[in-house]
Amino acid sequence: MGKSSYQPKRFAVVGAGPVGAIVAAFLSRGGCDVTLCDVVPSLLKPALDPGILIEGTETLQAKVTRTTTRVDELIGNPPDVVIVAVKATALPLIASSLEGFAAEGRYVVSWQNGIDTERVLAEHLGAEFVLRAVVNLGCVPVGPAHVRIAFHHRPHLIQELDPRSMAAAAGISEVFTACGLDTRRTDQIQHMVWRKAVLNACMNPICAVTGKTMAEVINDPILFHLVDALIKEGVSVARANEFRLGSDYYPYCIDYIRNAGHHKPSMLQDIEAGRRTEVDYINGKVVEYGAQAGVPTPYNTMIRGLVKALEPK
Amino acid sequence: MKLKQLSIFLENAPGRLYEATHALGEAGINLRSLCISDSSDFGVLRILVSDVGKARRVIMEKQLPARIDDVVAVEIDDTPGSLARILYPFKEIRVNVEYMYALAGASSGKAVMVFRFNDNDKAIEVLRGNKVRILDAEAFGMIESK
Repeated sequence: MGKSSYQPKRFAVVGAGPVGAIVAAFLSRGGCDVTLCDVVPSLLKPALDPGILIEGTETLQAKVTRTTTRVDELIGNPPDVVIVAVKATALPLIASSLEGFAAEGRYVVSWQNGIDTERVLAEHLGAEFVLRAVVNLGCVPVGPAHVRIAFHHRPHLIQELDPRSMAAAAGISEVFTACGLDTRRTDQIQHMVWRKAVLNACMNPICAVTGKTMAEVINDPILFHLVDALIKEGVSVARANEFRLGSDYYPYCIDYIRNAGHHKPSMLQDIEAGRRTEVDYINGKVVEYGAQAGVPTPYNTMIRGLVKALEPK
Repeated sequence: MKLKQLSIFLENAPGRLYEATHALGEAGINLRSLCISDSSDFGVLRILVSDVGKARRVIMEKQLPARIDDVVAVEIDDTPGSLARILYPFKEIRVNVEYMYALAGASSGKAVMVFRFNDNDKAIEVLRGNKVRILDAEAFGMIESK
């Protein structure tokens, strides 16, 4: 397949947490014009100078072009592409802030965990201007604009919501890949989202509730029994809703978890930092889709409730 | 003619409503109208505010789950049967009211109703056709541009 006709050069990354910082750093290093946006000014300052520092599975440091604390400022000086890398809970407000951004040749990418994040964006911006990605890396914040990548399972995946934006998805994936953040356009994103979400749903809340790393959870027989039950429940819900996980999904899950090592998933990081989690967009969605298909979800309902109880009041 | 309403989702726990309203107050944001409803485990605070952009930033900084929805505000006579008369045409065209709340004392002898319709644009057409006064952001003293 030839090169896409769409080759964006100007990006904005909304969310200067670990995931957003990684995207901004790779794009900046690759020569793109990058605006990093977050409501927390202290996360932005070092991204301009000395630059975002990435360590772990790879090492790089790169300065973004500019920063802003206001998402709506992006409307006045619009980039080609906005990468949304905030927690899913912040999405409805971010989406409404971006109203007016959508136009010919401009796109918004949900570069996030969780189910249905792209639908929240599409509701405000229109499906034609929204793309969904599945991000395949684990990372932890070391400090402002300083991130450690724990694991990086290339490639990341991206797909348009509307067939008219296929060239945009291809073009964005080419630019990302050229910048070192290998990304492939797919036509199976919903299935991929569920593959990732069931994986997150089985591990992240168990880690969040117990305070244990992924390796500690998988090596504890009692906790592994819960992980196993959550995988099986998630698989049942996905299949009842006709999402294709693949025949190798269970061993894939176990391998993925084993290779993650002593990583603290973001849900545990959030609980430890006193932040809200994405549990509603992960286990909450498994519960929601389970109800839709008539599949009981006692394990997901229980673990979601326990995580919600730990969230800040 | 549509207004931007901020809907903030608050767990049913002591202090959550205070936390949200205090943050908005500290930022100098005036509440133009307000309603709160509850479900089993959380409530929804629906507000029209003097500065939507600023309110959105305040709520983002507080990390409260929230969203912006379009609503329609209309002025009706403060007399028996006025609301029913306004609602009557919607039966025919299958436009549903998802929720509504009243704002008393907005103008003398009049009541203001805030509606969320399942099709706001179609509802506005019908209301205009029936000579119902629809209130814009300016009438509420709201800034929506930022």
